[in-house]
Amino acid sequence: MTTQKEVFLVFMVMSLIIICVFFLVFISANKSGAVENVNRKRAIFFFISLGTVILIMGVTLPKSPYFLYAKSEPEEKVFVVAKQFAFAISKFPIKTEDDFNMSAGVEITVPVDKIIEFSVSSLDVNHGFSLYKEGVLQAQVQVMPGYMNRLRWKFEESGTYDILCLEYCGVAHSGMMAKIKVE
Amino acid sequence: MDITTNKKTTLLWLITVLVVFLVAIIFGLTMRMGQAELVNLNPVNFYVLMTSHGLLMIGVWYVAGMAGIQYLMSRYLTVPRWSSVFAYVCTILGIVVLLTATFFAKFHASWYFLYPLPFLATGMEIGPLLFFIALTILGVGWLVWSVVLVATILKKYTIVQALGWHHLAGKTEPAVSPFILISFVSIIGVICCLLAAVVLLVLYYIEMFSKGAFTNDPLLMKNLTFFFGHTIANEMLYMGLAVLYELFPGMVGKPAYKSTWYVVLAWNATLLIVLFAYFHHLYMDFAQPLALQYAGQIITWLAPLPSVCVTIFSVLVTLYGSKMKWSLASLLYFFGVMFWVIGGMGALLDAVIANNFVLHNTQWVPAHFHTYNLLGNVFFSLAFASWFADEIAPEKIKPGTVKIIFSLLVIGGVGFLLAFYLGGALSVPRKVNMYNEVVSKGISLAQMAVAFASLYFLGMIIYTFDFIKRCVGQLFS
Repeated sequence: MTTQKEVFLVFMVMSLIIICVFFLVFISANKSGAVENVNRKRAIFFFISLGTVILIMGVTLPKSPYFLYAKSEPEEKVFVVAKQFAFAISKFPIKTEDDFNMSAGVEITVPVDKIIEFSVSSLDVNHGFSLYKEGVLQAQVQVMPGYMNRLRWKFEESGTYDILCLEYCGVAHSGMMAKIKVE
Repeated sequence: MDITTNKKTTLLWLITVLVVFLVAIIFGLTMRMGQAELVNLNPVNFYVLMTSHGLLMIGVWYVAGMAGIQYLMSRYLTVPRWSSVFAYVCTILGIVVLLTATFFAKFHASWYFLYPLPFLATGMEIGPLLFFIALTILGVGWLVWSVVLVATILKKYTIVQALGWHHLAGKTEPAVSPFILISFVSIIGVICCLLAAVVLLVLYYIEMFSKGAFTNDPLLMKNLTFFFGHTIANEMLYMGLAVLYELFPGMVGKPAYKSTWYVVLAWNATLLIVLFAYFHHLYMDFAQPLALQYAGQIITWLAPLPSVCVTIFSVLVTLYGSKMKWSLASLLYFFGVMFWVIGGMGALLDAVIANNFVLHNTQWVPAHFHTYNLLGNVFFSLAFASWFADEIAPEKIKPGTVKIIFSLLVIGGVGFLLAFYLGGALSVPRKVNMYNEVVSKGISLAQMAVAFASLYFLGMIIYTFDFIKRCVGQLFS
């Protein structure tokens, strides 16, 4: 199951619990009664919630993408430059407009199961660099003019991956895409 | 301000809010129809609608919060009339200039207009200038209103008292109601984010008029944009909650809430937390300092603690065993809180950096923010408007109408949002005018959204018609 679907499942379960709690209270409003020791219950609820938050921080923060393969040397470097409304992707630095024009639309091939470092930047506005496999988003990083963002990624399956712009960048944003071959 | 004038001013605000809301829904519905391939929208027109829809929605529900606070504040203080009128005029003028920038000049840089896109999604050359003028007018009107309100509160209370700190020290006098405390805390936050907007706009103006001699830093501009956008979106919800604290206990037949130590602590904590939670918008900007990324996740996850343990806990305890007689206002308040919690859960899951890696800029984002706006904050403001209508109108709303409106809003809203959540789970991107072959699943989800959003829209038409029919005579009485 993808991370997105796991998140959706957790969300649905939590939403059902919240709806049940509210409906129980909603039904209780038809009769008379009172909650006793409210502040004691509030304090217990607070400390359980705080403990849950600390636990979730401890589990999730180390999984942040900034650490992906941080201790290993990338086996291949790929340079990506975005410009309304195309990506130029090359194994060589893209420094000029001519470099961009030469690489735009060219489909490169990278090895499967190896660490690839994508260095992404923009020549104009903010864009998004995202990797899709069969319609499922695998990884992404923002592309900002004046900055170089680096994403390390290991393709675990061979095949053709779609690259979509995921940050609104202007009128042809939805058609801004490229492909990368993994084998 | 005398009572009659205060009522008329509030009524004018609310009618304006409801009418603009209907227009903004039409914009959103048309966008979803375009994505569903039910109508043929050219890309520029789609993004013109998207820019207008986003800004109108944020603006109109912020203004609804202002109307509620302005009206109820007169229970405690004499609030000057001129600042409310000034803010109203600026709001109307700002909306007119904004719609001129988008529909006439075809400016289409989206509601959060990330630098430097406004200079490259201009439509006509005058587009960005008109757009920035619109934001300046809105910002000045709201900033003046906010500063006047804070000054009015500080005429009666010291800062320490307005923040409720004397209650923490065990003093009972002067009693500061939660309404005053939350309004004060929220307006301080609003002033902070509007000042950030001023800096942002000044930087845009300087670059625009320097003719290339000066350029801005994109990362700084992005931080300023989200500090403004995220904070104002949250503060408008808190303004709705200030009104809830004031009205809900009375609807349930319970004594008014008091500023107990935990209420004071919770809202002082919220004041700080909300100002630093915006970092989660920049998780995927790996150039942002790492410490700020972690701060974003930790602060965002701490934010619900005061809300859940104080506000939501109190609402549930207040209602439990209360022998409640439900009205449209109390239904909207109670279920608005429920949907606020559900939307918050969606936001928290997205605020885990590891999840954001595959959810950022997918439809999970509009899913959660529409949940706590469309079914949370909007419900809070509609609840205030319903309560207000019952206060001033000669006739009450019919029970059958309550059932129809509430059912349409909830069924329509939930179905509309579910299409977004499913879109997030299926990697469908947001902010696209059409779904290309990679993400074509978005088309059927958009069709589902159109069907349910139409129900919500119908509910709002009935609500607005009923509200105006019952209340409009009071404007001229």
